[in-house]
Amino acid sequence: MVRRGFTRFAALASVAALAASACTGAAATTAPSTGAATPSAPPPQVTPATTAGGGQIVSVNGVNHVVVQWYVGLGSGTNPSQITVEQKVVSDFNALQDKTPTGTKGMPILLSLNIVQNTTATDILKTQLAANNAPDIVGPVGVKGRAAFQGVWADITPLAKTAGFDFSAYDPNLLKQLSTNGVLDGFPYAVYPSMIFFNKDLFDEAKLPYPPQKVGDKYTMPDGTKVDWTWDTVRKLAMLLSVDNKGKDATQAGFDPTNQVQFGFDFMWSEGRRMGSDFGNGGFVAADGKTAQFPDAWKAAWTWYYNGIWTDHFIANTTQENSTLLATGNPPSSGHVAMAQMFQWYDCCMAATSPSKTIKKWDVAIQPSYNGTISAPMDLDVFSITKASKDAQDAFTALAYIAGRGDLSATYGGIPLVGDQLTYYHKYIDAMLKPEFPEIYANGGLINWQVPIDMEKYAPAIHHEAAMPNYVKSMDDYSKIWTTLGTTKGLDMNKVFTDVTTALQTDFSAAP
Amino acid sequence: MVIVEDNESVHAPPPRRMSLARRETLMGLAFLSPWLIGLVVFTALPIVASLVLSFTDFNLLHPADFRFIGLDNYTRMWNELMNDGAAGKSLGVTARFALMSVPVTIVLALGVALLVNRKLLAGKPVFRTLFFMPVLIPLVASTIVWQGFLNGSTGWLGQILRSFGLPSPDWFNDPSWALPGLVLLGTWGIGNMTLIFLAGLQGVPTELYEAVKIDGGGPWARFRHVTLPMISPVLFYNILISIIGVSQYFTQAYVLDPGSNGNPGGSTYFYNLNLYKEGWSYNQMGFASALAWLMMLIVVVAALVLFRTSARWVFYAGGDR
Repeated sequence: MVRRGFTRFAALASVAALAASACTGAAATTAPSTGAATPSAPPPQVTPATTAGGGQIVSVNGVNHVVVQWYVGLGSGTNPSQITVEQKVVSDFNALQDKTPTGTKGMPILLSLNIVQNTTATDILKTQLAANNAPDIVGPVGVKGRAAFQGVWADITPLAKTAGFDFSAYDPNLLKQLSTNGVLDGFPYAVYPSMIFFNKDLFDEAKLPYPPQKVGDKYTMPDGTKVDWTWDTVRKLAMLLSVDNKGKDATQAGFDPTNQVQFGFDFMWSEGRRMGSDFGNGGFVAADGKTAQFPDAWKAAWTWYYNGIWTDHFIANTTQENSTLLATGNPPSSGHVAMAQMFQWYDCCMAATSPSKTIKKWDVAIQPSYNGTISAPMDLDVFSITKASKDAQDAFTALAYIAGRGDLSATYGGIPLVGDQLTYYHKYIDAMLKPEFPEIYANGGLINWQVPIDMEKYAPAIHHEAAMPNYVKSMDDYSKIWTTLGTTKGLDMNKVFTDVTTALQTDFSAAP
Repeated sequence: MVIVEDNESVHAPPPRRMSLARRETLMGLAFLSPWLIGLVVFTALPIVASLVLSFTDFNLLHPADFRFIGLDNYTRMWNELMNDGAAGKSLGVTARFALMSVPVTIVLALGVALLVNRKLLAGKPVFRTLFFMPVLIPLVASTIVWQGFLNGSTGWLGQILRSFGLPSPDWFNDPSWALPGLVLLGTWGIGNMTLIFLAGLQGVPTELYEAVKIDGGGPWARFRHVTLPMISPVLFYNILISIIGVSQYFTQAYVLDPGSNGNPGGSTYFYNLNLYKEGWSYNQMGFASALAWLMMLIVVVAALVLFRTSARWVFYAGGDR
């Protein structure tokens, strides 16, 4: 008891002390909502919380409710348009519960939404966990976001079993990727395949054919030759689409990379393991789970990226990426980038951050191949239930409802793992994008959503954010070296590979 | 006739009345209590708790599993300091920044204060307001603005320098220029210090300047022999506050690299970034607490050195310290 009391006290006190010393001012943007009230309805009478069996119970209009806290912010879900949908989901669920209570204690479940800005969400959740005040549901959150909380998530298999929820329709390989040490500790929710987004207007201007949208299709180069859609083809094409202020492209003599006004390619929010996975399945951890390695395909990927910045000039360096020309860190939406390798969720942002709405027409193409194999990394989102949840079964009930809402996954830009995905795209994603991009949808035009659906099959077996020993520290250390690729000219790439392997081995060896 | 004695009224002691001083003390404490409670709960207790935590392996994700580990955190810190580990490197970055930033901001703030204190300057209130205004802008916003301003490709400063045929550093992407870039960014916030200097300058008696003039002293003599000694207590205060400010430096570096790795190349990996990283990213709250205590110790030593040396260079007109 004393130990527990000390723990709580220490957690709160340490957080306060260190927050003060570090001056972070980690302000959370919270949007709690019972979601039960409508504007015209009288406000619900909520009495102070009590606890029963550890869980939180509140009385709303004289009826006791089990409170299930839903924490949003570790991944997607904090944009104003997303918050609107989340609040509606909560409101609808609570209304349903008021009509037909399904809480395990015979009471309705009251879903309560807690939205925290992504930049502070990790810190705030850790603080809540340390103070024994953890939320019940956390998500949507990706593999990396969850990995920062190893040991915190509950196994959802028994909860699903009790609820009669069947995972047999889900792809077993995906379930495996979503599991930690063989335990399914997250509700599989949405996938975000990666592909090439391309700006049609820039291709039209350069009189170049669009990239292929079907696996196996060739690309026709300006000289008429038909070539395989490989990363080398992308390099050649991207150089043709990289232009300086005098109108010369990167293949022409006299091209001035210091005055570049257009780039052929962008690897948005570049990340070393994702770049590696674009070229082939692999990881920094050898099969023994403790030895650091740098797969050959990944070396080729890093070299391709590095040369793309500093030798071939079709990728912006970090300074150029953060310039106003490239929308201060959001190059594809700037209208000055012809192609970008990105996940499905990026469809939200093609124009959203660009005040001038510079992109009028865009589409998606398949991922290029390397050594004859396509590897298309895929982001995976889950909803997790914390081990500390005192009403885990009720949380699962709420979670199953949340996961079934198509409008919610659409606002996150994800595709459900099961069901007719193409119909889903047309029903939700197209409906969302149509007002933003009237030029695309004019005269019956569409974005080719068969591309991401096809790309799902090419997701590498090892996830690009897969677990590593000493995860956060390892990720920090290779990322420090990875970022130098965008800032430093003249690096010896062999030394880079050695440095990464050495740093990772040190971290792996120090893993608890 | 029976006489009934009213014992209660005769023998009961008179009601006790508090003295005025006591009542005023209690009233004062009552009014102060919100602040006092805040001080105890949000400052004093966390300070004590962080000291206790520094002797534990307290992990944010697994708070119930903590153990007292004696001086292990301090031993680790010592090893990191001696062997150029993360603590040593980050302390080095902070020290280098302090050596650049403190003199630059002090000299600049004093210079601006001297300028806006000039009798001949027209529109003084306007200039004073202009120099103070940046203080009102949140640090995060100003850092983002400066990121754009110093961008090596499209930043205004680079464009201005290039228009004169001068090379433009790639400030926040070049390890050699990142710290100078942050020093430059820091000059944006000299308004407070300028204001304090200005108050000090306005308190210097004019007859002293007249005396120097009569003795044939020029502007430099007036500054060296009158202004500087007379505002030395203000200078002392500003130096002390600057050092404390550097010891808390965090936000700007965090905004520049939200991954908190001190990019580019670890050149902006400040001590508090490392402390934050250990506490929140690696969940080593015990070790982070030990780091916090080392920084406090360093600041205390720096303050003591300043106070001890102040007798030689700080002049108090009334003779009081």
